[in-house]
Amino acid sequence: MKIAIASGKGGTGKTTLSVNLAYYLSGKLGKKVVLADLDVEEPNSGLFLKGKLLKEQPEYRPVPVWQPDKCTFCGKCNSLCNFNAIASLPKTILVFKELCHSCYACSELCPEDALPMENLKMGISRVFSINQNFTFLEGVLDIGQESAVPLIKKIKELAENKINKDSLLLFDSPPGTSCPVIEATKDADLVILITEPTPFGFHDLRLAVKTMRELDKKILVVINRYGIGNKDIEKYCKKQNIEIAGKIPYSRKVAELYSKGLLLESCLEVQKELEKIAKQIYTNLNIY
Amino acid sequence: MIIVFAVDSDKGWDSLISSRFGRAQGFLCFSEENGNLDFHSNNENAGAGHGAGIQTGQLIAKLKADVIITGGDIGPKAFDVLSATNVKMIKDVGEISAKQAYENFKNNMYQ
Repeated sequence: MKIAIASGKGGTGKTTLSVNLAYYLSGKLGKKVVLADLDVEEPNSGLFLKGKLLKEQPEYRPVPVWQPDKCTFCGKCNSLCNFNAIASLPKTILVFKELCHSCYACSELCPEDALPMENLKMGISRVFSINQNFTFLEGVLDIGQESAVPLIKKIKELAENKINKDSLLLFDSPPGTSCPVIEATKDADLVILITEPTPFGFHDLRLAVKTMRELDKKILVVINRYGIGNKDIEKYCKKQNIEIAGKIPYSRKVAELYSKGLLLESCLEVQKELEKIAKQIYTNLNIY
Repeated sequence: MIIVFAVDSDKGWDSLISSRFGRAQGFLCFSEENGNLDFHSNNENAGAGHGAGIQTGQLIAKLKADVIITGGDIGPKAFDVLSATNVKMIKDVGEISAKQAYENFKNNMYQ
């Protein structure tokens, strides 16, 4: 079973919920849990998890490399590319690797085989063992890479190889509602949207709900920093028939622990909410 | 010599130079040999989701431009494309008419 933890707005608590929920499920409930940090542009789940590094490896994506001796400058590559990543000029072909989506169209359809695909490093992946029930993976995108999607896909594949039918796979997703989020959530069985009771939080939650409904996802909402702002989110969720699985209180203790990079194990009111959230997850995924 | 001007509408020599290159609405192409001033729409590239500068650079190459004049900056990818075609790039000329830009160019005000 795959659960994506996403939000519209950034900074609402995706990582806080991901690491604490994964820890709770693997510890208190003794579940086999794999957590993958898919926010590869700024992964931070790892700041809160202390474990043993099992594997670190570079990750690659294929891009076309122009072979001048074979090219006849027919221009087919340029007209085929959906992403405007190729410039076909009178004396040269320029490939803009950062725009390439590795679709192979130019490479496969070049009549002269002048654009073979070669691997380009896009980032690294790391696998950690946190405890016997808890495996953690993260991807770190190289500086200068324009698209996070290929690395997110890779980390998902790696994570899926680590689970069996009883495991729970958690994805700490990137913020927003664009391609990286779609990639991180599109094959989740359940999406937990975490938000905060502020106008920005509310606004972006609505965008996230629309996006997830477009993808036909089961949704749960968790409200973080509960107690500030107003009740707009609760009214909205009621109207939209969306279950609020938990409310993490706005508290100085949570902020202090977070600022030290610690999990919220000692925060009873948070543990109580995690218990409720876990129950809702189990109900929604029919786990007993 | 062929001189190309980035513009946002076709008003002949009175067209204002566009502050954008990749997403300029069109290009005025002036041939000193035959005196023709032709407008080429850049509609498709102006609305592209990504890679506008690259495709627009390619259009400039197709026009066989010796000089391209634009009102603002030229992005890094467009710059790479234009560099590969050896076109002389004149940028940041501001919002002046194509006519004024051409006169300035002929008076060696753009170095």
